[in-house]
Amino acid sequence: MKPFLKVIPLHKKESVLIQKAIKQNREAQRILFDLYAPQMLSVCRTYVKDIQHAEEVMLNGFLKVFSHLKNYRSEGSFEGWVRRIMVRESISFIRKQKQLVFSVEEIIPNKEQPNTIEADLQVVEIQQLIDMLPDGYKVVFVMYAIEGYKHCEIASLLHITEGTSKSQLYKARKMLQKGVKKLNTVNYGTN
Amino acid sequence: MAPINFEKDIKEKVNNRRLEPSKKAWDNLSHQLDVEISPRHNTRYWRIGLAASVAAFLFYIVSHKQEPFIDSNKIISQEVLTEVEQHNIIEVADTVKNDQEASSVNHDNTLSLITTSETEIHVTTITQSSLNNQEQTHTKVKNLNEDVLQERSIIEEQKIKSIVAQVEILASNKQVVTDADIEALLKAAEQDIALSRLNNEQQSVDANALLQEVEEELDQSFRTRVFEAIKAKYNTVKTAVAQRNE
Repeated sequence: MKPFLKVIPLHKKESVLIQKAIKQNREAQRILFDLYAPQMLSVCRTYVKDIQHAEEVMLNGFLKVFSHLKNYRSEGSFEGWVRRIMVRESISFIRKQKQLVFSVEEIIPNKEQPNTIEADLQVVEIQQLIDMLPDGYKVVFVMYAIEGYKHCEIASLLHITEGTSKSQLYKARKMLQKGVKKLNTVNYGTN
Repeated sequence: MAPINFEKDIKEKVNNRRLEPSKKAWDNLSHQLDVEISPRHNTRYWRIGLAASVAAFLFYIVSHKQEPFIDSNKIISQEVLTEVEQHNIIEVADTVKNDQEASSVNHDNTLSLITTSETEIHVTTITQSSLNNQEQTHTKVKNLNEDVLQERSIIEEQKIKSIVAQVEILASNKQVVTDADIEALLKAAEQDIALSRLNNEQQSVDANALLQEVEEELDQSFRTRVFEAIKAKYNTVKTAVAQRNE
């Protein structure tokens, strides 16, 4: 006799969990939290320097996720919806810390910046480079380069112009390249 | 080493990164969820309770305002119904009479006519029975009234006799009976009669008010009857005394 195998697709299981979580089923909420918390803490950490603060931001984000879960329309992925909440929560945290300052000067780059490096950086090193950036540069760079937001979306979310967003990205890239060069010098003794 | 696309590399590495939250993270979140969600539920219940109490209050007001209207409507409708019923009874009785006359003259009535007359007769029998019932109740009430009147007249007769006897006693003792004596006896007798009436009626109302009312109701015939009785007795006593003196 063949063993009866019932394969439940992940999205189906997830939708069941979401429905239960909407009804304030704490166990379902816990499962969803365990499923997405490591990834979301990573998202928050890219914006927030301190890991404890990043966790605080993530918990606030999950609180919003579970209190507004009935507004989730299942149009995009649940992960994407939670991720957007985490990004907004991180920006809001930085704003509260009064660290988010954007330079008024708008530099529109004429030519594309070189976007290649000759070093295989570890994720810890990447995070160190990002942490070195001023918050204004950092937020725009992470939103654009890692989260995949467009300049118009960034401008709308941060209440800045598209030009400011582009100039912030330009400066962030320049600083990062300098930082990579420094790292290469330290690691490999090359310039 | 081959050149690497810097931003693509960062994106891949950061997105694949997983950072485990602290062990207390879920407990903190769970506690926050309890705090965040429970007041909302409480306010919802409060709102529902408030709405229900307002609705109950409005219902109470509306229902109490409508009561007198309903009663008056009932009374009016009952009056109209009784009028209509009486009118119908007379009409139905007339139609039955007419139908019977018509049937005696013309035996070739249609089926519909017969059925209508049957129904009308049925209606008349019902109304007649109801009339009989009413008559019976009327006669019962009449009998009751007669019984009460008889009882009252017996009491009054007894009182007259007792007053006359008292006057006789007074006459024999004092030789002279004043009007005040007779008036006092009459007052006492009237009060006794009034009290006995009250006892018969057995109503839980203000006894003093009723006593006064009944006293007023007592007609002068009782007084005149008493005086006539005393007069007759006095004459007999007077003649008896005169005859004895002779």
